[in-house]
Amino acid sequence: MKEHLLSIENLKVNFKTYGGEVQAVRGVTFHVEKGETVAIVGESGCGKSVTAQAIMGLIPNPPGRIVDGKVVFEGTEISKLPKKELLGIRGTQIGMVFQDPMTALNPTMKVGAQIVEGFVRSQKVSREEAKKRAIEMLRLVGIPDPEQRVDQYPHQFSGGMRQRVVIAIALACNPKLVIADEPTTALDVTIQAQILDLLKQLQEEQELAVVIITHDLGVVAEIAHRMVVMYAGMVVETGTVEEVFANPRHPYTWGLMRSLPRLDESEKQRLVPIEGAPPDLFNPPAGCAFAARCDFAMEICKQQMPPTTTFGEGHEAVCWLHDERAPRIDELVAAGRQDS
Amino acid sequence: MSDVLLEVRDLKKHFSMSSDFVLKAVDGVSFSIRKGETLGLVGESGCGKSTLGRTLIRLYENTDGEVLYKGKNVHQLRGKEVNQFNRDVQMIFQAPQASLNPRMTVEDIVAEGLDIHGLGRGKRRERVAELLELVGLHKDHAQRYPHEFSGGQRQRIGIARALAVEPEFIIADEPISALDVSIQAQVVNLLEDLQQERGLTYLFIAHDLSMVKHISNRIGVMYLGKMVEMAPSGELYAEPLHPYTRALLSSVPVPDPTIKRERIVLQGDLPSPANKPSGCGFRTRCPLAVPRCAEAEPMWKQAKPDHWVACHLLDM
Repeated sequence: MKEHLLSIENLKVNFKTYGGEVQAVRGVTFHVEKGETVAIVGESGCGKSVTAQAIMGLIPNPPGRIVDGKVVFEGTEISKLPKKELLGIRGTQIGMVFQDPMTALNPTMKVGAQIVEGFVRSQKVSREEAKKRAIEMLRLVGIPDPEQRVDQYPHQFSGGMRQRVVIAIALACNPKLVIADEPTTALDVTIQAQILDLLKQLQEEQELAVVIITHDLGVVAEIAHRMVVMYAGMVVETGTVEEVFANPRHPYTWGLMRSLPRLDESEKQRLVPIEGAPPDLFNPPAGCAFAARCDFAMEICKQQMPPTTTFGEGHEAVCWLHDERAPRIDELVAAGRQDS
Repeated sequence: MSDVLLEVRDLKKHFSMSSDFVLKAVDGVSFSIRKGETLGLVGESGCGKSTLGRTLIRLYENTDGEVLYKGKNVHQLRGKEVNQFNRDVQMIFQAPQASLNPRMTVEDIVAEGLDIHGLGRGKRRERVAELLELVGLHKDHAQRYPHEFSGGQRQRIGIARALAVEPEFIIADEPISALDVSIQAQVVNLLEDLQQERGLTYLFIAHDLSMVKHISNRIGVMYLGKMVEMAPSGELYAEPLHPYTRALLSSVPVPDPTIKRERIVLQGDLPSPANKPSGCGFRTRCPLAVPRCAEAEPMWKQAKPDHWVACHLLDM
């Protein structure tokens, strides 16, 4: 079997709360190849950020813990590494870009020092070299006058500029993989366009692998090669972006795509929402978690977890409708469209 | 025109931040809203769209210019007229967790307007039950507290509260941006249904251009306290005239990997409203700027029927 850059196998993460134990991630499996961009898509509470934290070894324990499964990075099971060894990988081999650039930066430290913090620790370089590296990184992420900017503090930067600094921090040690958790959600659209272009350009130039977590299917279509759709702590569909957008196989993916208005719709169409709300993960349903909101749910969906069906080229969906005994989907879809 | 509900004439709202610094959040905006339509208002954070919305309904005093609601200047209403105006005009806020008092039951939240305007006497409970059902909640929810609801349900409570006093005009300030995609569509459909049933007029403020285009009849685009373009939504999308509108539209990622567009990526950031460029506010980021843009402010004028824009390039 070919070795993936990163593979996550049957990952399960629970959090203890006053109300009981929440099963935030319930058996997630996917992988990332060298130099590719994988998007994890889903709504708030679906476990996408917890999955990212688990990759980085950032699950706060207590209350959280990895109950089962493993994270393998370049053949090493990093979910089992002692903290000290994990530190050698985190920040140097794997970089992280957080959602909110306002809170991800230390307000009392010059941005230059923040950019090279990990670099200095891992490479034991002189001050001058470190500063040179910081300026180089600022230039790489497109910040004008990096020589002056390197000695400034985060409050002297705008939101978009701060996010560039956060990206510079993630890239300072030439990582092989960057995990970006909603990197553009806090930004305005014109700034989002700048940051997406930057990520794409860096990814191509540096042969980076990127895991981008987002709820915006527009961002996915723009930047990712493959996508992983999550719902209620599980993966419901994965595949190449082209394949999933052209032939979505899971009713939740259909629902997500139909509930979006499109800027290029010529005639006004009524939006088709997914009725109801996601299930309670204190006590997740025995069968498919989406069954309660699914237009096509059958009896078995409520009782038993569906198997994974493969459609070729790594396109997989976890849904009973693809069982050979199930009624044919196109008939159900045709009937469903008439209703709506 | 008789169908104009609200008319805004050269409205300004300035905030004095210190003795020598005035923040010109809204700086000379003119437009009108017609009865029964949805006017969308878009722009990046800090462009003044929320301040404009709040000044329209007297949450802020105006600095200059006027707002006429059914022909009356809203900043000069007195006595009973104020009460009537506060009934006619309601607001739906962005963050449903911050805009509902956590210590009040849903019934008290929804009925607050009824109590203030003396509308609920004797049938308060029935009215609340009716309103909750109207927005897709259950009447048994009335005795619960806001924290017992999901984000989408809380936004429905906010909508029920706004509808309680039977308003004609609703300002919705980013009503769906805190919600998940699958829930956004639920709330937008609800707003559209209510508009049809009750002939409501909406001012829909948001930064999500695809949703604004979906819900609005016309759209206004703001930049640094000014309106730069206003047109029917289909036309604004098909034939944007202002360079900022074009850049804004092309920045929106389209959820379709087969479409590869030429994107206009604007350089730099929004200038600080405290330190606006001379002439046209957009010239520092405009790919088409000419010397004249720094010298004079472009006029707000009608380029085509019902299509207004402020840009020097259209005079050349």
